[in-house]
Amino acid sequence: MKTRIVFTLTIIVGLFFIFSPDAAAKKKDEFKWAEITPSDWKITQDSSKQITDAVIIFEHIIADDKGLENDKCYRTIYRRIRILTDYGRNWGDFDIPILNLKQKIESIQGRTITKDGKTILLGDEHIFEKEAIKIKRKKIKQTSFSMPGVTNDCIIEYYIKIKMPSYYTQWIIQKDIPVLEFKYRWVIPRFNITSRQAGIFEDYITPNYLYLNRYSELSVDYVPSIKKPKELVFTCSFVPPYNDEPFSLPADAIRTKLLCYLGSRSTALAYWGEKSNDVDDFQKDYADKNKRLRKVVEDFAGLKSVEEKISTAYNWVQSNIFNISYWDLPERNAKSKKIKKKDRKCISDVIKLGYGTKTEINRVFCDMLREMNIDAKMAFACDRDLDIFVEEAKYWQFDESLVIVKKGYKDFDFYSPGHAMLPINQMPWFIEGVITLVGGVESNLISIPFSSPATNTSTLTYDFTIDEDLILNGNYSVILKGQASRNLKVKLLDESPEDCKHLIKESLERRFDDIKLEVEMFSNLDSVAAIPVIKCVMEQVELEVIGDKVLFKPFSHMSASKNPFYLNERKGGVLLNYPYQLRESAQFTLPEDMIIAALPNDTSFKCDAGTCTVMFEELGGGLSVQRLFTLSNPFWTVAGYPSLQALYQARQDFGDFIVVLKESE
Amino acid sequence: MIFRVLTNLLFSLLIITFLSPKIYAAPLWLENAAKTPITITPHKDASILVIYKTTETEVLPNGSYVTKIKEALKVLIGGKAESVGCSESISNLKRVKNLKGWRIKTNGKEEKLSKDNVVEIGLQTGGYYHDSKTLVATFPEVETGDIIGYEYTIKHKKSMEGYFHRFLIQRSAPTLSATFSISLPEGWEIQSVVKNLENVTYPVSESNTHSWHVGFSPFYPDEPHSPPNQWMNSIIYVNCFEPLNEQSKSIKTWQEASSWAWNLHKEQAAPDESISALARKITAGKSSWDEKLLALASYVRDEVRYVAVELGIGRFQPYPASITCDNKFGDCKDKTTLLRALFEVVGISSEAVLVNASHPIDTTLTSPFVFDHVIIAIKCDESSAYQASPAHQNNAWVYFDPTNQSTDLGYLPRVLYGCKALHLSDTAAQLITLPELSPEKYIRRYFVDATLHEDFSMSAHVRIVDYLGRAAYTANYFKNHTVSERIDNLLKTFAPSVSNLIIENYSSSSSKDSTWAEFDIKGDNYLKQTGDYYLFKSDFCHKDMKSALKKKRTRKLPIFYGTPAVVETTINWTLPELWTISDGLDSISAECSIASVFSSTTEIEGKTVFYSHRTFKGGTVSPEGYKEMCSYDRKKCKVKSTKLFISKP
Repeated sequence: MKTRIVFTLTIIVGLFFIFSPDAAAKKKDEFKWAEITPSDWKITQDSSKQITDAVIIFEHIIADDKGLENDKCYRTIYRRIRILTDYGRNWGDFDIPILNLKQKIESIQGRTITKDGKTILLGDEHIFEKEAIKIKRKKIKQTSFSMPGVTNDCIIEYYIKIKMPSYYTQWIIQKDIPVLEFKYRWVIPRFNITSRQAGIFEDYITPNYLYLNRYSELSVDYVPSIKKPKELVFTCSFVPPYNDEPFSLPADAIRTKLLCYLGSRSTALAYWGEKSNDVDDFQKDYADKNKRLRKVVEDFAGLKSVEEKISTAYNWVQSNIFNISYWDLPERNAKSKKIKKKDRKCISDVIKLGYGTKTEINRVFCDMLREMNIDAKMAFACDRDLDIFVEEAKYWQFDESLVIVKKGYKDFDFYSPGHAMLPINQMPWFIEGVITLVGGVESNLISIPFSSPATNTSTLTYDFTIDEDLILNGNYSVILKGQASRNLKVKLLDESPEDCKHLIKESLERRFDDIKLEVEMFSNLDSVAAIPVIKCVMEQVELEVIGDKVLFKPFSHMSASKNPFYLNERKGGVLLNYPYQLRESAQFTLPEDMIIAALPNDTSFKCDAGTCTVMFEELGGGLSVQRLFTLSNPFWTVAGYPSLQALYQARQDFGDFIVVLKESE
Repeated sequence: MIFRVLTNLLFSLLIITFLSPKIYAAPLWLENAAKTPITITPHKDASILVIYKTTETEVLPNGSYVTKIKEALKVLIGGKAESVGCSESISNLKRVKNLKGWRIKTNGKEEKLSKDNVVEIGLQTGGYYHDSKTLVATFPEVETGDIIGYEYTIKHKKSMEGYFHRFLIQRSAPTLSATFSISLPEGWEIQSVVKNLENVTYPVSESNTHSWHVGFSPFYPDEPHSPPNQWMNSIIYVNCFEPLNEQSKSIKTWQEASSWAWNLHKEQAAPDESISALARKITAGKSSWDEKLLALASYVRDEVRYVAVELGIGRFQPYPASITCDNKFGDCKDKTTLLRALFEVVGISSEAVLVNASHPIDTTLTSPFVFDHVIIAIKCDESSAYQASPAHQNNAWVYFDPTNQSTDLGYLPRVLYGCKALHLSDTAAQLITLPELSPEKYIRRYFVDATLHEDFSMSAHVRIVDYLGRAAYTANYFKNHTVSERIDNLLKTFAPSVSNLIIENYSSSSSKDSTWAEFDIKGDNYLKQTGDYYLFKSDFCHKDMKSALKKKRTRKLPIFYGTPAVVETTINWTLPELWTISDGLDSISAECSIASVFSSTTEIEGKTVFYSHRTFKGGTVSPEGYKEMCSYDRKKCKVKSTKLFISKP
């Protein structure tokens, strides 16, 4: 009897272990390496495909999100790499990406296969886990490994399985080395809901995908069927390596990538139409309780023109609402009462409390205009320094807000008092040139134009003296307008005068080639509308003597002329910050015994990208030099690159112009 | 009874209420520091002033130690949170305890260090694994005039490192007063070195506590042509040891230092079957000693990639040679150990050698912890050609760094020439000086045939040849960069001097002692016209330079031009017919203790020949020699900027 009980219990326990979820999971997780084929070994360096040090033979990703409802998503990475050079061996060292702060690494396997058929397995001793960051009790762990046995002519492959509580939408396909084959299997999330519920929520749980910045076509298989897919399998061939170039769009915005996400079933056009309505509806709800705002607007009743009304409202919100996106709330108010940050659930709250975020300030401004019967709408845009808007991606991508006023059929004015130090006629540079989603209009995706170069003019006025020892001393003053002015003001927000001096010095020295300067005075940096003026002293430089002549390049003592676009080929577009104009005017006072022997000719260069003009004039006892440089547009495609390169080359060439002095007879 | 209880309770509450602000208030030492009159004018670029710093260390015989630190700073440039942070390395052996911080604002209000602003950072990258982290504490927003104070204790478990201490004064922060003290067990002694610090007093103590008081230590701005930062650290080194106890683990002689490190290395270099087979395979068909040596050295240098796994004792002890052999990766000590094992199989004697690749060491400190790198010393065979190599020492050893892929056998990495090195041996440790590098062993030559055209454009055929030590560096560069990348780098080099530059017909190659690259270049607007004057730059291989050493400035740091090298440029210019040089045919020559420069522009057989020769001898010039260096530097820049006046019909 006893034996029978023990036997039965043993069977039960045994069955439990065999069929337990963990056991099942481990069984399913048995990974098998794919066969190494002769064609894998045939891969060699190939300049036509930019295969140099190493190449990813294939990358197979499984994005298993079916357990999303239970916070169980998995990412599996299986990558095979052909190593071709000594430098390529560095691909044997890998940091496992942190896709989610709560992720757990469930499995790491790897092996190196040498040409003579030897296989060296990745062991536990080659895997290193460490606390990367720890704040209070919160930790982020980092796992890395180094493949053993790697030579400059081998194949390495590894398999990593990561578990995380939510899904990760984006996969960057393009790497720093070529990818010959890419496969991504998305196991779509399954929800424990009825078909009726699924119909209600279809705008939020429909699987969507987007393939961006493509080099080759993407094929999509719907498994088991296109009507009711449970998995989507994406494959593409050959993706060339990413080439990092200066002055490019953000890297992750231009690399080839795949986005898989749950969202709307409708087309992009319809989706953004719905979002536009949502933006408008939200603004209406937010502005529903606006009694306090109406009281403020009553004081503007005497204003006649639309421009006056807009300007007054703009100044009012900037002056009367403390912007907590830029400043922390003071601890206490004027009456020494402690200020505790409260929620602002409506416009009246913002006005009552007297503070808000930049978006809340824009909402107040928008509603003020609306109360004054001006057709103003809330709008949202991406910061192009971080990412770019993709119309086909049907999810919220925006991180900046603004207000749009319609002037005519297709004419708009753009405002954003919520951005500190931003004058009324300006947009921050990082949302110029981007698409904005406007609330409550039919054509809801509108492009914000770039400002003109003339509005972003910096004027530098130099005063140099050459002494008898042929040492050049000087000082200069700077007047900034437009984006340069605002950028500096934002940088100096709330800084003490001493700190401002240092920050201005750092900012200005970047404009020059190896010239140190000291800031003597500055003004108008704490007011939105005022134009900043800065005065600096520059360090000395000795001039060059050849025989009985003295040479100097006037522009080598002025702002930098070096051409950053020295490469003749460009693979991607160029994105600079904003169009601008730089006006420089220099006076050189010569020593008494020296005269000008020769001056360069006035010269000008013009192309689509802009203009560069230099002028020289002899003035009694001295020399006057002027340079005007204009960049017409900050964004240039590959086709436009030669024009941009030519403009900056002209600036460099003019920068080499030499003035010849000699002793007076 | 009840009344008494209530009274006691009320009294207790009153005391707590009275005292509670005090519990969290800044300590007295910080308040006193805040009141310290500042009688010096800090440098305008200094962002903080260290008002007061004390470091008190107690070392125990087993090498464990406890250090108490207090530091008070004044903020000179607000907003720079990173400069007012407290940063301390930690590990499994070393922990920071009882960290407290305070901020006293200019209005007198106090703020306590929040746990939200204390973070441990231990980022690792694939290829470099270690168990140390950095504990960083800071106040995120500070204003000019704020006083910041930190107080904490470091507890270090027993280890050999506990006998060696460094007290660092940041050059980037002027310091009013700092005190370092170290308390030792009875009978223990110290070796100490004070580097780059003035105003240091060392009061005699009755107890076995040694202390140094550092008076005002100024801010050292970044100055052009300075030695590497690590050379200029203001630092006090202390090595503690027990002189009379033979059994003590502390280290007092170079032999003991060598023996300690030797014991960590010795077993690891024992060759096993796999090592023996590998050695035989690599040297198959090689008959001479030199051939075997080169084959094995090249194998470890090139086939074993650099990955550092420095966990626990792994910071000092290499992995067994067989493991490094299987992994095909390792750090400097792993590669050295593997190479030693391979050498042993074929009968080549070698020793591991400790060096410091970062800065010169002071030999007063007999500690293995003054070194940070391991190379190999090879007992040179009498027949070996490497006896004549720059890495050969007249003590019959040839030194080699198997970690550095830019250095061939027979040479050393440039930073190691002339450095102190410690052979590891149980009985016959040697502290030696590695060979010095002669500039003539590290040469680059430009050979150029250039033509100036009537339309003011130019074209040239350029050949750049690197010799000896520099050849290996360039060969490694070629190996790791495609032709397209090399051309892009050439464009970057020549573009400042040549307008609308095009590079064509690029080729390159290497031989035993030299490496060359050859290409054609074209550019527009090379001849510059100013009125009736026509000017061109003789040497487009080097861009115009302004001297960074200004006469009217003062100098705090020595002047340094880098390690020994020679650069020679010869450009043969062909001008259009009837064009002549009207001015600029000249020579320039200058010399100082660490460098010399010569250039000449002459006309030879119808060509205008520009020639320049620059020699860097190594070493430094003290700040007292700054004025002379200003003169030298101007001439050096003038050589690179040489221009000629052309007369054309």
